[in-house]
Parts: sequence; C-alpha cells; structure tokens
Amino acid sequence: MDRMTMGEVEQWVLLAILRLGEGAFALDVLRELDREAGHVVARGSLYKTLERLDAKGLTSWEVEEGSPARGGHPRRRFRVTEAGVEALRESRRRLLHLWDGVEEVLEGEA
Amino acid sequence: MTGGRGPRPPRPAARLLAWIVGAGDEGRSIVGDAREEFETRGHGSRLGPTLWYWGYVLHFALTYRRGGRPWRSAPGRPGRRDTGGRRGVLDALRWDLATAARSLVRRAGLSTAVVLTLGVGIGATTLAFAIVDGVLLRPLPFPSPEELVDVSRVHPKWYGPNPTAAQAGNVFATPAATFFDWERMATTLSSMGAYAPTAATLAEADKAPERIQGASVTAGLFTALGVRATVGRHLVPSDDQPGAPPAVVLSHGLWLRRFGGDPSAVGRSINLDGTPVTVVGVMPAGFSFPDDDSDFWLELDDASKAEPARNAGYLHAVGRLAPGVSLERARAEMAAITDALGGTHQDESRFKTVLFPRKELMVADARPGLLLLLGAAAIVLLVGCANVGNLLLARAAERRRELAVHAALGAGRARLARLLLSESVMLAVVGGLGGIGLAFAGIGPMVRAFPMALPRAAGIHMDVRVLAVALTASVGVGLLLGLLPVVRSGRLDLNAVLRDGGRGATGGGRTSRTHGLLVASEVALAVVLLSTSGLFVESYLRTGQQDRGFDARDVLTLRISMPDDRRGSDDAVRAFFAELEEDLAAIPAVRVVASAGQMPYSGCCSSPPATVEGVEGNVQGSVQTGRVDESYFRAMRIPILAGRGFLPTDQEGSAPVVVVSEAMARRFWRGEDPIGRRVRLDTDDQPTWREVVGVAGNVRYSFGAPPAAEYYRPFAQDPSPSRAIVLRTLPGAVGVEAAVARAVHALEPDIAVEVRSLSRSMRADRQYRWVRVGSFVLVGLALVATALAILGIYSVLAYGVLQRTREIGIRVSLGGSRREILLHVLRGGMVMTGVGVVIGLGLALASSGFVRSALVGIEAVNVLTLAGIVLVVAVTAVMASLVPAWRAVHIDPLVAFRED
Repeated sequence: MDRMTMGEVEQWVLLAILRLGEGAFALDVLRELDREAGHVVARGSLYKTLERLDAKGLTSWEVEEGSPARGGHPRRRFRVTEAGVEALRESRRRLLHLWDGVEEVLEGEA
Repeated sequence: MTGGRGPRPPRPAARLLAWIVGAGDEGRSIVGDAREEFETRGHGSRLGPTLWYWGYVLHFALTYRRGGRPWRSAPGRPGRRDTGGRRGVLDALRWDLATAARSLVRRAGLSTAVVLTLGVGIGATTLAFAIVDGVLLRPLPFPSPEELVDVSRVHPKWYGPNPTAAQAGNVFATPAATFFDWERMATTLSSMGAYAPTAATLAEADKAPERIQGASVTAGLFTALGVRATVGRHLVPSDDQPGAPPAVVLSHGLWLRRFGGDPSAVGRSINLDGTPVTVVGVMPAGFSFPDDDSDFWLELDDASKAEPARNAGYLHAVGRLAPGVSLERARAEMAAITDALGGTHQDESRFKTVLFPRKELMVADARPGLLLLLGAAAIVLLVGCANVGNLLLARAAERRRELAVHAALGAGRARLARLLLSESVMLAVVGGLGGIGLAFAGIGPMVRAFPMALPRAAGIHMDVRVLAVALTASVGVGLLLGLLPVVRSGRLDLNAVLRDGGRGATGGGRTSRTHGLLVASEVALAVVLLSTSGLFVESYLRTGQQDRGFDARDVLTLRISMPDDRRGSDDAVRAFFAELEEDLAAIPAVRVVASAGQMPYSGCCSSPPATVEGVEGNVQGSVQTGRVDESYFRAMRIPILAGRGFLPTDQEGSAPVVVVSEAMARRFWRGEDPIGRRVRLDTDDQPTWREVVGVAGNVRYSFGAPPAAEYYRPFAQDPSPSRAIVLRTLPGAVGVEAAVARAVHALEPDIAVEVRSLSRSMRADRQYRWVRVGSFVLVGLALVATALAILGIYSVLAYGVLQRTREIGIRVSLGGSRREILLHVLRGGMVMTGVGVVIGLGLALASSGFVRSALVGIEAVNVLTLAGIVLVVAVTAVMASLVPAWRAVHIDPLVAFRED
C-alpha cells in the first residue's frame, strides 16, 4: 500500500466519511465537504472518486433499501476500510514530513 | 420529504442519468441520490426543480468520468463487473458516446461549425434525393409496373433510326386503325390500351361549368395498367365496339368534388362539351393517368375509332408484357407486326415502332436535370466534408498530446480510433438530423416551385426510405471524416509527442499537404458548380431575351369549345364565333379580338401530313400548321413581312390561301419569292393546293424553341369548334376577365371560362420554369460551395500561421523581412487556389456536355463566364489569405517565445 498515492479529493472524501462516523451516504459526504472543507465537489466527481476508492479497496459499501422519496432506489452506506485508514495515515505522515522545516517560511509570509 | 406524491424528475433526464451510471446497485443508488436531492428542491413550482434536475444530469454527464481511468476495462471490484460479451460492448459504446459528447461540448464553437456545414450539405442532398427518388427511382403506382411499356410509332426521318425514350415520349402519332391492329395481333403483350390527353367542359344544370383535364382512351388501357374501378366498372372491350353508348370513368377527386362521393353518380348521364355521356365507374383515390391532374377517361368516340387513315394519328399506346416475355422479344414482335402492316398499307411502311419501359419514357425528359440537381447538392456536401475534414484534422493535431496520454494509459489504437470515429459520427448525425429538418421544410416550396417541370411530382415525399438514406449518408460521412484523423493518429510517435510537450506537433509536411489537397479539391468543386450555374443563368438570360416574335403584354386568352349539340354545320360554328367575337369586342377595354387554333406557350403544335409544291415527299413533323382568323396577326403584333395577312374576303368559297412564317419561307424557298407558291394539306377530304399570300414574322412556341416553320390557314376556310380567343386590351385594364365571362355566358351558359394572361402562361412554361428555378437553386448551391471553399482557404492558412508562430517569430528576430513572410503566406493560399481552379476548370469542361443536355439555347461553354468565375474565385481567395498573412506579419517575436 505504501506506493499507493491518493489524490486530494480522494483524501477529502475518506476524511469526510471518517468524520461522519458510523458509515455515510453519498449525499452526507457531499454536505460534509461543503460545510467543513468549504469545498463543493461536483456530483459526477464525487461518485467517480467513490468508485476509485472502492476499486483501490480503501472504502467498502453496503446497500440499504431506499425510501419512497428516492423513488424506491437503494442507497449505499460507505465505510473506510482498514486499508483506507492506513492510507490516510501514510499520507499524513508524508505530508508532515514534507512540512518539516517550511512552516516558518510560510508563517513569515503570512 | 414526502413519499413520491410530489413532482417527479423529468423522465428523459432520469433515463439519461440511469443510462450513464448503469443498472447495478451503484448506478441505482446514484439515481436515488439524485431523486432525493430533487425532492428537497421543494414542491412549489414545477419548472424550478425540473430545470435543476436537467442541469444536474448534464453536469453529471460532463463530470462523472473526468479524472477516471477510462482506458482500462471498467474499474470495479474484481468479478463484479463483466466487461465481456454484450454488456461489455454496450458499456464500451456507451463510454465512447459519452466521451465523444463531452469532448464535442467542450469544443462547442468547432462542433457548431461542423454541424452547420454538414447540415447544409446533407439537407441539400436529402432534398435532391427525395425529388430524384420520387420521380426517377420509385416504381410507377401500378401493379407489376416493370411490365408496362410504351409503344410509339415514330418516323425515322425526324428522329433517326434509333429514337431515344425522350423523343418517343413526346410522340402522339398512332392512328386508331394502327392501334387496333396492334392490339389484335400482338401476343407478347398481354393487353394494350391507347390514350390521348384531352380537356372538356363539364356542365350540369345547377353548377358552374368547369373545364377538366382527362384523356380519350380505349378500353384496354385499364387492363394494361392493371387498375380497377372502386365504384362501378372501368371501360371494357364492349365499350370499344362501334355504336356502344358513350361511357366515361371519373377520378375519385372529381367524384368527390362534383358529386359529393354519391355512389348513384354511376349510371348518371353527364354533359361533357355538350355531349351526354354515361358515368360507368369511379377510379380509386390516387389513380391519375396520364397526368397528375387527369379527372376523366372517356371512351374514344366512334368517328375516331372508325377513322381509316394510317398516315397520321394522335394516340399514344401502352402495353403490358405477357408473363415471362422480355422487352427484347416484344420489340422484335412489334417490329414484325409493323412490317406485316406495311405490306398491306402503304402508309405504315414509312414508320418504325419502338418500345420503351413506361417509366423510362415518362421521366426521360427530367432525368438529366434531376441528376444535375442531385450532383450539385452532393458537391456542396463534398465541399462541406472537405472543410470539416480539415477542421477535424487540425483538431486531432492539437489533441496529439491528449491522445498520447490516453495511449500511454493503455488505450490501444483501436480504442483511440473508436473515440475519434464516434466523435465524427456524432457530429455528422447531429448535422444530418438538422439537414433532414431543412429538407422537410424545403421540399414543399421546392416542388411547388416547379410543378410544371416535374413529371410524377405528386409522388415526391419525405418518407422512411428517404430518411433511411439520409441517415445512412450521415453516418457514412461521419466515418469518412473520422478516418482522416484516425489514419493520422495511427502514425503518432508517442514518445516524441510527450517529449516535446505537443508543441509544434503539426504533423509536418504531410499533414499540411493533406490540408492543402482538401482545400484545392474544395476550390475545384466550387468552380465546377459555379460554371454549371453560369450555364444555367446564361440559358435563362439568353432564352429570356430571345425575340419570341409576338407581343404578350396586355394579351388575354381563353379557350372556347363550342358545345357539341350546337355545332351542327360549319356555318353554325362560324356564326357562333362571329357573334362571340362581336360581343367581346364590345367590352370597353378590349381593343382587338382574334382567335387561333393553338396559342404559343400552351402545348404544342400539330404537324399533319402535308405537301409543299416542288418539295419531294411529305413534310409531316418538320412543318407545323395552325388556324387563325384575320385579326390574329394584329392582336399578337406579329409583323407581316411580305404579301398580306388574311382578309375578310378569304372565305369558304374563295381561293384557298395560307400565310407562311419566315422560317418556313427560308426553308423551302431560300432566296426566292414565296408568294404564289402552294401547300397542300393531305388530311383534307379532298386535298387541294393552297396558295401562299403572305409571310409573317417568326414565332417561338415555347421557351428556347427554335422559330417555328409553319403555315397559317384562315378559320373562314377551315372552321373549328374549339378555338383560343385572343384579346388585346388597353394597358393596365382591370376587370376584363369578369366582363369576358359575362359575355360568353350570355351567349352560351354551358361553357367554362378561364381567362389567362398570355404573359402568365409564358411564365408557367415548363422549360422556362426549369431554367429559372434551376438557376436560382444552382447559383445558391454554388455560392454556398464557394463560401465554404474560401472559408477552407482561410482556416488552413490561419491554422498554419498559428502552428508556426514560433518559427515565424524566429525568422523575424533573425531579421527576416516581413514582406517575405507576407508573400509566403499569400503564396500558400494562391497555390491551393491555383491547383483547385485548374482542376475545377478541367472538370467543368468535361461535364459541360451533360449540363447542356439539360438546357436549351446553350451551344458551348462561354469563355467569358469561365474567366469571370476564375477572377472572382482568385480575388476572394486573396482576400481570405490576407487576414492570416496580416496576422503572420504582426507576430511579435517576444510573445512567440514567451508562449513556451
């Protein structure tokens, strides 16, 4: 997994799912990102990202029955897998490593 | 959120979304999410959420795949998705289409240009094809139409040993006696019928009399055509027997119009031209023969059937090939029959009998013109294709880096090819749909614009057949256009492209040669079309300016057929017309009243067997004759060049006289005095010599026709119960028509009166309309093609300059002169134009023979016209080149480098 790289949006989505706790629905992820990260992700990109995370084995999902408001369509509850958590951890480690020594510069500029 | 009682998402959008995301749990959950969001948009207005949903789906379509890894077989859990088999193909297709659609939307400007260009080309071609299909291709609306043949008797002297179908189609010269012999003797034809177009006045007690078109026919016609009456019966052989009561069959349209569709109309007696005839049947709706407006089929009258003469006739025969009989066998048998008849009848031996498939004969006249129209439309499409090909090629060059990335990610050549092809096919199909719309809108006005010039015009429709051809053509065009960039991208060296960042990846000399070749062919095609339309305009102008020999301004005409029951003796006819002319002359605005048997621009002329004194043999077919009264030349302002016109003293008992046209005088008595020469009409009961007393100016009987060689006979010595009345009125007189109708009806209420202005009849002339409409259409198409070609020159040069900005910048910074750069760009434009013009001129000259076959009054290609075309194309090409050249000259080297 250590060679696995993640895009920015992928990390955001993983984080949003984790923040939402006991599994999250796609629309919740969307709202969470909007509210907490101030980032509006296009629906198409979100689903694409979810697909990709799924393919990488970083998330998993289960199907729940849909309400009439959804026209009877099912909904998916997403969870971050152990591999997903590990990937986030690794990503944070690398980033922090990179941040080392530049914080002052950035502080100074601010 | 409430349960599904609120508004639902727009169904097409929901389907589109479902299509994009697929049918699995993932897909259905995405659709569900969209539905849930839609529900939260509130239930106030319907429009807001609906628009929101559409926006959602379209935005989704654009963003869903971006950033994915499309080239891999679909991502997903191992084993969850089956990418093989039908599903795989469908997935791939869906992906191709969605990707293509996104890519096209991203380049909206280019896509619009392509769609418009192809739309115009495909629209024009579809329209032309619909007309060609309706007239030339579609089978005749009769059972087993391929068995129908026309049998014509032609004189080898006038048409040569091998007359064409077009010539045979215009011959109405079979005598009744000959026809009945054919019908009796022929075994290769299972049935035969004969007809002659005619018109009659239908008069009934309580309705206004109406002039209707129809045909005199023999009973066999219906069997030969294979049609039956829908009410009552059609004519049967017993109707052909001498003494049978006169019978008529009505068209469905006439039956509805005049008899309200009443079945009891069958068996009733109606009054046609004053003769009572019995209606025996009504034909089914849609049946019309021989013309689109034929309304009745009247049994040939007894006198015509009994006519023994075989030297001249006025019937045209059709037959149906017996089962298993080839056209060749029927031809051989009819030739043998003609030989046999020639043995017993001297007159028959001079003729030849020819057989042609009925359809070929009907459309032979129109064929060159229609093929020309289709060709011109196809040329516009080709020029459009070349233009679009250039655009797509240029775009493919720009996208080399994008394609290289795709390829690096694992897309095979086949996949790249599919992407490019699906883009071009999608563009072409969208353009094609627009074009089909244009064709739908245009077909009505187009057919109305030349109804007189088109046979079978009633059969022209946009139908499934035409649509299928148009769509197939669109897809074909798309594939063709897509192939060009595909072939190019196949040669792509990925590493090189990725290494130099796609910069300057113009594809080198080969691509620019392809661009140049495409533009040169556009120019060539445009020149062909310009010169073709030049010929049309020339024909239009030339024949339009031709001296017709008479003055049509302020001339009204009407056809008067004296009712049969009033005809009686020749004296009665003379008295009737004398009285009528007197009444008409009393109308204040009428200055001259005259009459004629046949007017110019209303059908053609009769050319019965006749003998010119001192001329060997019969002159039938080469000299025409008509009857006029003594006021005719004055009313029509036809000059009398020598001798005199007719006088009131030229009466029944006085010496028989004729006036000849200048063309006839020149043909037979060149350089001699025609006055005092003699002409004999051989169809007279007792042929007598008639003396030439005057020479009248030449008259052309139809648009583009040569001056007629003809001799005029006075009505006084040769009465006829059917005449065209000619009225010369005061300039700008109004209300004359009504006064004329009142005058006629005061004398005889059962006559249909249709007053027409001679100028209007001339404008309705078939050839005139054809040349006029053809000129408009062709000039329009030629201008579109030229504009596209010029646009092609411009875009190729502009693109070249853009691609070479850096190179030009280097040249400038190294001290290259701006004049050199200007000339370099201009030269590029001139080479493309020059090559195109030379090829175009060659093609134009090669095709001019065919074009002239569709025209009159054009002997050769006009060098001046061609020179003008070359000049116009050259000047516009230079102008189109100036803009990119100017841009090249003003490239700032600093900016050019900074772009790296």
